[in-house]
Amino acid sequence: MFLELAEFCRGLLSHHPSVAIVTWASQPALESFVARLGPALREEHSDTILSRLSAAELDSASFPERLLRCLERRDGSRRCLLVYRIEPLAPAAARILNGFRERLASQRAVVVVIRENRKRDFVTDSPDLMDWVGTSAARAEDLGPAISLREIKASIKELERRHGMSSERFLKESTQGRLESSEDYWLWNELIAMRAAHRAEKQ
Amino acid sequence: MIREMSAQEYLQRLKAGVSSCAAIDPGDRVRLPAKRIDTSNAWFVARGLDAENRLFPDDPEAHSPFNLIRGGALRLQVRVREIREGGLRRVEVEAYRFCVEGLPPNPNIVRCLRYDKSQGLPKGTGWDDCLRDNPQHPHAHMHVNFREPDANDLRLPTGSVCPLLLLSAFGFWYLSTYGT
Repeated sequence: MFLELAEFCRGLLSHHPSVAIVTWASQPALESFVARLGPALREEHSDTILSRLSAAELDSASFPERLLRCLERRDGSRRCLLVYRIEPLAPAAARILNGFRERLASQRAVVVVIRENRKRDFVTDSPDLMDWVGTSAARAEDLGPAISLREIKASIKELERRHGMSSERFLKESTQGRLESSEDYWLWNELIAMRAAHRAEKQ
Repeated sequence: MIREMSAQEYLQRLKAGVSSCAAIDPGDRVRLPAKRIDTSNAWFVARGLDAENRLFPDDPEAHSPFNLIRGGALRLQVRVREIREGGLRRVEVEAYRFCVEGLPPNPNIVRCLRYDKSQGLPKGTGWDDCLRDNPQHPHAHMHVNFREPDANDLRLPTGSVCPLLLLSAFGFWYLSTYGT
């Protein structure tokens, strides 16, 4: 189980052959993971190249052709192959990847992304590949971007609007014991603390 | 409350605690969204967070509480910070909110139960220098409500409690009260 993209990449690139499976439940989490994987891999190993193989427009005949083309590249030892959007042909894709297992070892690493509710079938259809996956499994939602200062500020703004007071006034009233506890107030306090930590870190 | 482990390890234990908590609906036990707070070594964990905030935009489960098997819901929010000193990793639970609401009738006649610890000491009105806390609003406290589910005036100081221990203790009481 990985809770952070950097840790995931470190684990992925720390052994060979390396195959990981990443599941997703929400589309934005999938898109975010696909967009951020390349830079995160390069952060860990600067010469890593990310090859993306999306099966969205492929059928079970063209998928192995495209896969083979990716695996035959000469610089495979520097490449991490990302296979995603395989849900439309999941049973066939699982069997094909399982059959190509030895060839997958030519890559520095392979990441297979599959929707959470299709994982069980995928695992059943690729037993040998799963031996290589081992504990290299993660959820795209867990590997999402960190909470940014922008998101913290936006959440604070929403609370200010909802309660009709500024954060400064909230803090003042809160320390004077004039406010009743509530879900919002606990979170508001937390957000202000996160913002302060953020600012302190940047200085 | 500081423990000799990494934040990653603590959060994994918390997730394992959730997945083994038999009081939580089995289909609901799988998710405990956690996110690192950008640029700092802090993590924020949430289930049942206010739907309007933007901290977990791609994770709807962060906004829905855990459903309990015999009725009621659990909201859990935790913030932990990793401290690195001389190659050692330690984790501090800086803040938490553990809230159980909508409990079905029980011999303790409890409707709502909440443990809170927020960032910073609540100085200001009521602050007592000798106690180093505020009796009107203790830093770490619990609320127990028998009638109104959202009454807040009873705040009993608790000291800092490990959310994992809270989860286990509550799970034990819930199962022994309502059955499995």
